Amino acid sequence: MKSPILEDLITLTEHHRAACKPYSNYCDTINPIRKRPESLADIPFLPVRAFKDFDLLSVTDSEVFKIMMSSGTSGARSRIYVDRETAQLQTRTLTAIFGETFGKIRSPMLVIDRAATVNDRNHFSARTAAVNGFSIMAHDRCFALDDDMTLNLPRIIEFIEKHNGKRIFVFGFTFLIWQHFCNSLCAENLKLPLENSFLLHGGGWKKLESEKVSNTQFKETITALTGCNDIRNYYGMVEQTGTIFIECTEGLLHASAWSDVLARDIQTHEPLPHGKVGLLEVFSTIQKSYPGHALLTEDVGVTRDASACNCGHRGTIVEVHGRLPAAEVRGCSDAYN
Amino acid sequence: MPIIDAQNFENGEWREGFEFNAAASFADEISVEFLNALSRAILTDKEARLYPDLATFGYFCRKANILRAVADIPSSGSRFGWGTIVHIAPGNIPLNFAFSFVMGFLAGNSNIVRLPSRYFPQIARCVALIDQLIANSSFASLAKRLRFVQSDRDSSELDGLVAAGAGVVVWGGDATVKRFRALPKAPRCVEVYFPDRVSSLLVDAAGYLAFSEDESKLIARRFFNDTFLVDQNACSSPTTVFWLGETDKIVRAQNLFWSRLAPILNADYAIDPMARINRHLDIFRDVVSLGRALKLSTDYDVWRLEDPAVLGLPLRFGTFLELSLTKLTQILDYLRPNEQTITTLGIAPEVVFKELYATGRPPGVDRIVPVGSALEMSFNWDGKELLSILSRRVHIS
Repeated sequence: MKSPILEDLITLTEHHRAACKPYSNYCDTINPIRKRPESLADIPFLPVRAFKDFDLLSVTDSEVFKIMMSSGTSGARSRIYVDRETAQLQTRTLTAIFGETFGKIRSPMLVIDRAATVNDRNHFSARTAAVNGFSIMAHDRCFALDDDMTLNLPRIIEFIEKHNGKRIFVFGFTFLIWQHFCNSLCAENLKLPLENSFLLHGGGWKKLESEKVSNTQFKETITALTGCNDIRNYYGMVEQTGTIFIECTEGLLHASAWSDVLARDIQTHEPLPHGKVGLLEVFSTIQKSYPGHALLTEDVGVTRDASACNCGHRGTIVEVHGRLPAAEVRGCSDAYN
Repeated sequence: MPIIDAQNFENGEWREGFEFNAAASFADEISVEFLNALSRAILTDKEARLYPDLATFGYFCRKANILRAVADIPSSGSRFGWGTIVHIAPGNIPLNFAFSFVMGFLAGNSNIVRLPSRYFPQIARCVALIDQLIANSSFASLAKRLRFVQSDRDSSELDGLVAAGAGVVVWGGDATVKRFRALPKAPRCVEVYFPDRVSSLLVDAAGYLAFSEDESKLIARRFFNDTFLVDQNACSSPTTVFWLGETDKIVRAQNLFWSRLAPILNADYAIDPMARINRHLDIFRDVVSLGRALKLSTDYDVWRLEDPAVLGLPLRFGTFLELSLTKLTQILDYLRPNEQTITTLGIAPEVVFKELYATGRPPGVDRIVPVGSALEMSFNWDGKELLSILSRRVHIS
């Protein structure tokens, strides 16, 4: 089936070819024969790491409104150049996707992170972007963790009591929620009164891959500790801020109206049909200021047709299995390890 | 003595029975006999047969090869080891450590060999066979002259050995070389470094086209061994392919050459998935560096460029630059400053040597060998006579 966003992606490809010289030179080298794309697979893709290695803009420097960066814990960081138009589109799509899932009322937000994540200007990361991005959906904000990443229970209780009767929006990165929220509550044998709340988490397990638990176990643990039973995961990246894939009531991640996803064979990069495990390529229609509309990620997973889910959402389903392991190439370069 | 792991390396117990800075005579009888016995042990070992690189090392150690190398060194009777040589082996060519050890050992030194941190079964087997021989009473005295160790990166214990040793042999990566060059060392320390190098294949189109079908298939396998067997990441693996001859012959030779390689790649090779992504990023870097699009052929999943402007840029993960020559000496315009090896096909290495080095501007290339021999280790490496450098020659008059 033809992707509903194919035409938009074709237009974006032409836009970036005209506006971003390195991108057009790359496309002309990799896809020298230019024909009109007939499917998502025909859109030239860029490895997502390109944004770590190169400064890619389709606007002039003076039009750059903000630069977003990915976490820099292990090596280089992505630098995403956003103009006013793209920034507005990011907010608008995120608000729409969020509203579709949780309703349009702005809720008080309990962030499972520390305030320094958004306050420390020297450490802008994917977490900064995510916390600030989702804060737009909230009206009051409380950080659950202190600077040393310990849970500040008095502050949390005070916040919950202050908003007694209101639905609370709990947000955090998956591994932080598990490590610093669930584990701390378990260790102290405490339960929080968050029955009237919904929880959104994303970002995967990062360095806690070995401690990874299933989505079901994650949800059950949180429900047991807080009473919260509307727990949703999302899949997204700083390179495509705004167009996140969000978990539906059936527990599946769907593309939004502004995004789509394709799996490519890990060995050949050939496009795969739904249900086959491959490298995930994500598409988004809102990147006007940088060529980030068709990105080959280093995430491994499968796609499924929306009809495979009973929730009624029309967006392609994605299941993310994990990350591609680092290269173990042979040869004598890079010798001392 | 089994491999000393990083933890046991730090506690220093391994030093017991090791004679630091002890030296022996150059290629003394027991050393030669030991290597010959090791050769036999490897070549008759069932498990060792699983690893072609270990078998190659087994052949390397046989007496005839060793005695030939010793005979090449002047005044071998008045040479001795310097003391303890610390060898820093490369992290991802498994058996390189063993060749490095043989050079230091045969030259008369005691040797501490830092092995890769990653586990390779052929390393484990090789060290186990060495240990079995040492346990044999006739070689027991050699135990004081060798230790195989692992260490953390930037281990101060290792840096301390480098500071106290009589010599270091460091196998590249430029960054590794830079690090070890900067460490404090004894004033008379002998230092041998093998930094990053690059290599090429030279094909005489007419010479190649004259081969039979069977021969051209064999040649494809040899080229595969030079290149893809080590992910095109060894210093000696060709990244540039020079085609010598008339245009029409070159085109025919190219088509034949790459199409012969295709079935081998299909059957025996899978590029690492991350490396496959990196190949795209390399092309991105190329077009950013040059500010223009490049002509790229991707037939048979081999990526081939033809713009000489990419010469200084990294070519890897199955990416080649192909350049046509009408005269052999034109190659001199394209050889990179750190060019190490030219493998030849359809033209003899001696012919290439005679023509290129008689020009009055000898190229910096240190090896000219037939296709298939790119990775073949020799006592003369990167232009350095290792047995000579790693031994001191007493002057008597």
